[in-house]
Amino acid sequence: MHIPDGFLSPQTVGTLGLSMVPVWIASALKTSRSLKIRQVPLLSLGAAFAFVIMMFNIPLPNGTTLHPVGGALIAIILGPWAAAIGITIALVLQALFFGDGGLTAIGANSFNMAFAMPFVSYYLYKLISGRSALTSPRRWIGGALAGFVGLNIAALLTAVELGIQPLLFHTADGKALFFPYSLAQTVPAVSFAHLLVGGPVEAIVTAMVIMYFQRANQPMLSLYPPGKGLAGGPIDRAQIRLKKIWAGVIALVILSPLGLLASGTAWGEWSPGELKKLIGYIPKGISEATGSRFNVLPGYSISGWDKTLFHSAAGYIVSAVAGLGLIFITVYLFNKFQAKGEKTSGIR
Amino acid sequence: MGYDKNIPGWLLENKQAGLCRCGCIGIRKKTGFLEKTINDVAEVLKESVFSEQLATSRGMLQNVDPRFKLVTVAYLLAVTALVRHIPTLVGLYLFILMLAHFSRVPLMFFIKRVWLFIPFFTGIVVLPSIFNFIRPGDPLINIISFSHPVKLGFIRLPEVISVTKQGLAGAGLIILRVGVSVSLAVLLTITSRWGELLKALRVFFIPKIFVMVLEMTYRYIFLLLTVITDMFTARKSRSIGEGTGKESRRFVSVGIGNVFGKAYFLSEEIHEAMISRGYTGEAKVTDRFRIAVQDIVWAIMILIIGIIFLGGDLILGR
Amino acid sequence: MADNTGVLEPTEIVFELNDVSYSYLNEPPVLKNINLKVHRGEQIVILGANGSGKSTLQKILDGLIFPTAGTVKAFGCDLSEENLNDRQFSRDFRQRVGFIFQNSDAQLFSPNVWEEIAFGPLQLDLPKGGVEARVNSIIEALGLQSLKDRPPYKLSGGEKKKVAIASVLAINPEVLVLDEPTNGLDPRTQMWLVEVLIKLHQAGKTIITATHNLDIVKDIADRVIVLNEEHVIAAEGNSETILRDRELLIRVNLIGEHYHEHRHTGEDGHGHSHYHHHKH
Repeated sequence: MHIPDGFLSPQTVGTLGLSMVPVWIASALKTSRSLKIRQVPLLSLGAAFAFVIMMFNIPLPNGTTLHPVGGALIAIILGPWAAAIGITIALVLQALFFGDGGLTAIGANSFNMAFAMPFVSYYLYKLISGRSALTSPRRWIGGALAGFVGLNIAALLTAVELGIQPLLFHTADGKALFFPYSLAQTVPAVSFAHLLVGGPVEAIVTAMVIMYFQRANQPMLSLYPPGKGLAGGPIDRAQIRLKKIWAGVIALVILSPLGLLASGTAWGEWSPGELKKLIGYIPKGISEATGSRFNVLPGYSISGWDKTLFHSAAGYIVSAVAGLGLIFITVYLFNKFQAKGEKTSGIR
Repeated sequence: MGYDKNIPGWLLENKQAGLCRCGCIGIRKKTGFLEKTINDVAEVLKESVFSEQLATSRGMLQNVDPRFKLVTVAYLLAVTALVRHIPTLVGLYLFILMLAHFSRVPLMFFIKRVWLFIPFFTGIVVLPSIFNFIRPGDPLINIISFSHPVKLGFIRLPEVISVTKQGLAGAGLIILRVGVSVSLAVLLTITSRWGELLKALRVFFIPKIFVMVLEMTYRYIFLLLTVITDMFTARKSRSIGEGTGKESRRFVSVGIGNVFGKAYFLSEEIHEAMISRGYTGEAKVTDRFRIAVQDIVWAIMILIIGIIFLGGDLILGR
Repeated sequence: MADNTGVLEPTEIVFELNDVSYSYLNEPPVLKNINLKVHRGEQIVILGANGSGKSTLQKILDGLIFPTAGTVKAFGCDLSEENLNDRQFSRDFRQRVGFIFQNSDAQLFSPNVWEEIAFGPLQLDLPKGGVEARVNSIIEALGLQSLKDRPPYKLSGGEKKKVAIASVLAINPEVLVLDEPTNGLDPRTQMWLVEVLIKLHQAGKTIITATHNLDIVKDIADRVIVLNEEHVIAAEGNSETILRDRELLIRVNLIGEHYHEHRHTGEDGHGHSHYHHHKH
């Protein structure tokens, strides 16, 4: 479910990233209030756990193995706010050091796995477990459902984000610029796998770990919401501020599809493809005409590929070689310059 | 308190199970979940050791201030995302290879690391999109011609199944873009020490407290990984065969619960250890970064190169 | 000695515990009616079997947890949660008392050795140059130059303990509290540790060590306090007397009956240490 670099358009990534900002800020405020001085160690260990839980491979009946995502479990135990930060950090580290999920897609991946999944899971668990005793079966049933639904929501969001790419971003002649499959293709494919395999695994693991805590480590089940010992004082202004942030988050979530459309058009304003989408169908001739009119060097564009193949190909090669040559020489000179300066790195 | 009396008799007996290669029963088990987990963990650990080695060698990127490096790589990632033509991406890739070369990254390793892994994910995902029944387009190569549209259950196939020009170009574009992006990310991380990289994140206005959490997370991931390896290795050495699926799932769940519990307990201990040394909740992060002239030259150079690539891409058409 | 810049005045009595008891929520007490005075410059060893409450007692001394009954005074002031919430007081107290945890993995939470050692001084707001100078001098003093840039997970058990000690010494505390410092250390590192503690004692530091390692007691204790499994102080006295009282040590579960024979062979030899661990 980790979306890699290059699958999503910069516009999608930007919008999702922006909509995560208030979530991160709210989580930081919320956890600093409820955890106080414990904030750093608890969030760190929570994040470390979020990272390593994906290392656990579960044997499946058909002989293959699958690892759980753990978003539901972490949200249930540590609360959705701490989970949001913990999972984000796990995602950042996975992208930075282990090539799992793209650096540019961190906003999108966080939106699906660090925001949607923990919050959906936590509130579903809360709904089902209610005020039941720590040992009540309602706890693990709630956990199972939270795991199943949370994972599938995250998967659905991933599928939608990927699926809208060809709709929004393609060239005039139908070449996909980013992820190539439509919503109708992406959503069933992704959902099917998660409904059938991923979801049940997540449900089983979440439920079984909760059952283990019920047997062997009950205090873990009452960490969140923090009791009087841990928590901060009564409702005050900070909480009202949080409510406002929440309203902002919800507004952004509602607005983000609009944002996707709007920004998509803004970037591609010269593209006949986008025009076509906005105005309706543009006859081939017109589209070609507009295409070439807006090109800086007419004839070198892809739309002229067939007629002036040799001509344009030669043009490309000459300019590309010149451009690249220039760049290589610059980098080479920089390397020389750096070697001459040979400072003892930026550090110490 | 004589301990000897308390040791159960069976523990003092020295009966040995007959050692036998798996072959003698004729059953050799496939790699199971135990090995898979142990291997996955080992892979992560190995990876980090190797990149630390590269990060401390003295190459071009290693010498650039981590903050400048992070910002310029982010900028190049943005350029990669905005570029829309295969030739531009090829140019970008050659440029990255050159950076890697000057940073003393073994090129074969660098290329393999990126391209061995991409076909498995992106390649397979993207492959079907080159056919006209997934994305309609101008046919380039006709593969199968039926005399009329074919229905296979609920799937409808057109008369002619072909590889389309648009499909091929689109697939190529995606694969290349993913490849270039991943190469940039890999280059950034293998030429930087992780601690410095995390500290450098502060240039993106990430609060100190998050940097502190990130650093601590990274540090404790390794501890938890060791706990997991020990757990799985112990189980492996104790078990005859893999056990039933149900029992294995129980083992894994208990393991997860155990590690979670340990992590929580540890966070409490760390909390005490921090307080004991005067921590009051206010994050204080050391950074020992120093900007040199070459860092500024580097930034300007990358900025211009990025613009050249974007400009070149515009010339190629929209 | 410590730079006594804070409010707390140097006092002859460092810690004073009156009838201190402690119990975790709804559980039987882990410490009962502890009365204890620790004098400036003393070396004290707290002896006791696993679970006798040594760690809890030390955490109370370090102001990490607070007694459920009784009072604790540190440097003449009440060591209460309320007082420790005062910035000035807590900074001063943290600077004067250093705690070396049993679990080095909990104590070493920073990304590398250098930063680990810098953590304490940084919290105490030393000027930037001051932090650097202090860290570097401690690294040199304990011979940790080669470990300086290592992340904690690449250290051996002994190295971890050395770094933990360095990170606490960097604050230059006048009281050092150590919880099971020799656990899991090889004999050479144990020796190193004992030597460091002796030097620090000679420099005038107060040292409070909890251990069940009888081999090191003589070298690092003027006074020994024995906790029994009922969580009360079973005996108190100088190390010679306590170590010779075999009945007591058996009673508090620190040694087993079968140490008997070995004790004699030990005495027949050089009599350096009565309770070397013997393997059968």
